[in-house]
Amino acid sequence: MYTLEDLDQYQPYSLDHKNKNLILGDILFGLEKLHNNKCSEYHKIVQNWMFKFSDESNIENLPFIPVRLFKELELLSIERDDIKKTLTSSGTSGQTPSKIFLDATTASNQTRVLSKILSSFIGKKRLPMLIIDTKSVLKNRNSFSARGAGILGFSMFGYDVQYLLDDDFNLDFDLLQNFLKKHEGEKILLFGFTYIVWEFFNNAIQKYGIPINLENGILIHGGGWKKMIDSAVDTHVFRESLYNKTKLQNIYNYYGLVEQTGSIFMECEAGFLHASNYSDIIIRNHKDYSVASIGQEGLVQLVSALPLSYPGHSILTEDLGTIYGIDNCTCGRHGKYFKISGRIKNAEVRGCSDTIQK
Amino acid sequence: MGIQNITLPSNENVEYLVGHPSYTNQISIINPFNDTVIDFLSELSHSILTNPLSKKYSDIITFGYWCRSANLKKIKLSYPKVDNRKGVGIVFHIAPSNVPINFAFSYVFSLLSGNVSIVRVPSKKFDQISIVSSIVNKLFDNPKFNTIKYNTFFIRYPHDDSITQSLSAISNARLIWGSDETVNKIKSFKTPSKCFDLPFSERYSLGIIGVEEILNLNESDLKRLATGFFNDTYLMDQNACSSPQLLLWFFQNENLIEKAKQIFWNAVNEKVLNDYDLSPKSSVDKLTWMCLDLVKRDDVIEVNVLKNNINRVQINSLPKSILELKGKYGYFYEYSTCDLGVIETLMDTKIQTLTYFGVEKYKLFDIVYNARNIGIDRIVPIGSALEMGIIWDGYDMIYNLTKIIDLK
Repeated sequence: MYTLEDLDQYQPYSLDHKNKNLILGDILFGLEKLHNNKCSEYHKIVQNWMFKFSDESNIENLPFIPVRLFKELELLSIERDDIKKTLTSSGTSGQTPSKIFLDATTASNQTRVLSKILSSFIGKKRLPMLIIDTKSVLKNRNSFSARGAGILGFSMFGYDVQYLLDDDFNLDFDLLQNFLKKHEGEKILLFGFTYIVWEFFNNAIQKYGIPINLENGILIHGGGWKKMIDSAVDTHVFRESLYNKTKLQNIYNYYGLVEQTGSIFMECEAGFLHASNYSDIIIRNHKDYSVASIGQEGLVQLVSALPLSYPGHSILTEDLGTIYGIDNCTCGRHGKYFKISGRIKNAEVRGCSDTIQK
Repeated sequence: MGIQNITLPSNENVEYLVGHPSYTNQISIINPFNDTVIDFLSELSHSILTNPLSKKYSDIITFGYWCRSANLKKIKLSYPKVDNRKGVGIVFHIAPSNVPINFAFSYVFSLLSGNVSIVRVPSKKFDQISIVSSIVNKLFDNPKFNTIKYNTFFIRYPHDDSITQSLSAISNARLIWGSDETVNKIKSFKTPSKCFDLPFSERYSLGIIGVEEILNLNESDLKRLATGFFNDTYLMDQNACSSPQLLLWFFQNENLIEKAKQIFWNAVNEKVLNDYDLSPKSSVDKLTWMCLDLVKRDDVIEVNVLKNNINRVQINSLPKSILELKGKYGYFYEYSTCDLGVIETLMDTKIQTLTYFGVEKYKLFDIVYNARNIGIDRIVPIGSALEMGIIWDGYDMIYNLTKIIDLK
């Protein structure tokens, strides 16, 4: 039987499909057994799981639970006394946030794996770091929003960490200038949520009339494009605009669920999101949940080797995506590479149970 | 010769699809089943059924078919004594926002009763609305329909309480279709003291199927039943008030239940596979509900899924209120019983339609009629759940929308 330590022996993107299935598959089926034993709610859901297409112990045959369950239920596989941290998703306003319960082991695994994945993109050395957000998202140290957890998780990779926005989301231009002067000639790490980077950094930086040079910068951003779809900003517009304004060219988007913090999917130099050794993606046809073929769009299922304290190792998201290939991306990394095309839409429902017309 | 001094809103936010605010001094209250009205409706029926644009919409065709003179004459026969009645006046209709054709039925009920109709159509621009409106307008070019022309207003406006309030203030009756929230909100608007409302709020419906009768069906009857069930449910995303959420399986021999279910659902699935387009969101919603039912309900014996099109939850006891057994997009709860008497325990004011197959309808009627509680307004065969009728939600539209001139 394999464990997470076995995966740690490898470079994060080195396993080929066959070996990954062997090692990650074994870990995932171990987790499946664990949560089935420890979480009674999970047991009730999967005991007669209907969407198995063969009896093989293949990753594709793991049950997958819909992500919304983490909003509707408190799912945990540990005693409440062992909860060390609770993560909550920001959620759209008015919605119940997801609640994710972490014990000490799961929390430390998340940090270790995140660092391993990131090292493939920014190297192993800590870098001076700017966070494009306000410090106030971190107010409560025991309960973290996805944003807070992200910031905290990523700030491990920096030193001299500074927050670029004040409590009202104004860019602290002086701080930025001083920071760049202090670390002149050094590589600089920047981190922020896609929408916040766009709205409060990209759209604000020009009004000071002083050019900013970030050609030594590496920006990591994530959190989704949903808020920006209206203004037609995609990864290309985003990259181009930041490059034109700041000469920033090392820009990496990441994708992941707060339910699977740590085992994130990073966008490579070729513009594809990549599954590392620690996680995988399966695309399913919504009509019968069969596995879609490469190149075919469908519902995104994500699996992760990390969740020990809650049954989040295999989740059906509400995102649509397409896998473009396995082990043969031009960037050289192994694993599946894919793109996310958006969130499933609220269908126009027929019927007389209407709501007030707005 | 206006009935009262009324003014209709005329500003840029209010679009008159049919009628004009200036007509208000020519409105007239007439007798039910007025000959001109019958004449108009049968021409409307003909125009709809021969219009190439209508053909795309089964709901327009159903409406057109309903208005044909043979049907109206049949309906008229069931009102032998209405010659001392006339309309109640100005009827304000608030149509449901998500059922494109409902406004037209609401209008016709009020027209047949002899009233002036101000119909607020859904703000969403359904094709069905513009098709029907333009056919009506064309018929109004003929001066023989002037009486009806001056009594007909189809209006569309975005969410605006002040317009709804001003129309409520001149109403003699209101037909309010919509969610409980919508209905209650509109009921809170001030109306003249004598104005009354017919609220058509959220309802719940269920079905009952006789196990043994399913096993006796030949292939073509089974196909017809499956199509009927499909029309009752999937046609409206199982989200119409009359779409069943819970299915009762009525058995004499317990050993036959599984076989009957299998035959029935396979036939339904065949229809659904061909004619229903399940969206990714609906598919994930149904999986989520199913997981929640497995976790939260202790009455669940089994869940079944047929290609994600049909999700079924078998329960072994009925909850205190069946209203919590609610699904959409083809998500059904099933309960087996050998005792028709359970229907009485299920009844609730919110329950509208009981659809049946393979169960003696008079037995169902007796149970519902003799139960000393409110609830269940309709008992109709599977396949007829969505058929609009002049009797709806327990109201007879003609009797409710006319007044009697008492002569002694």
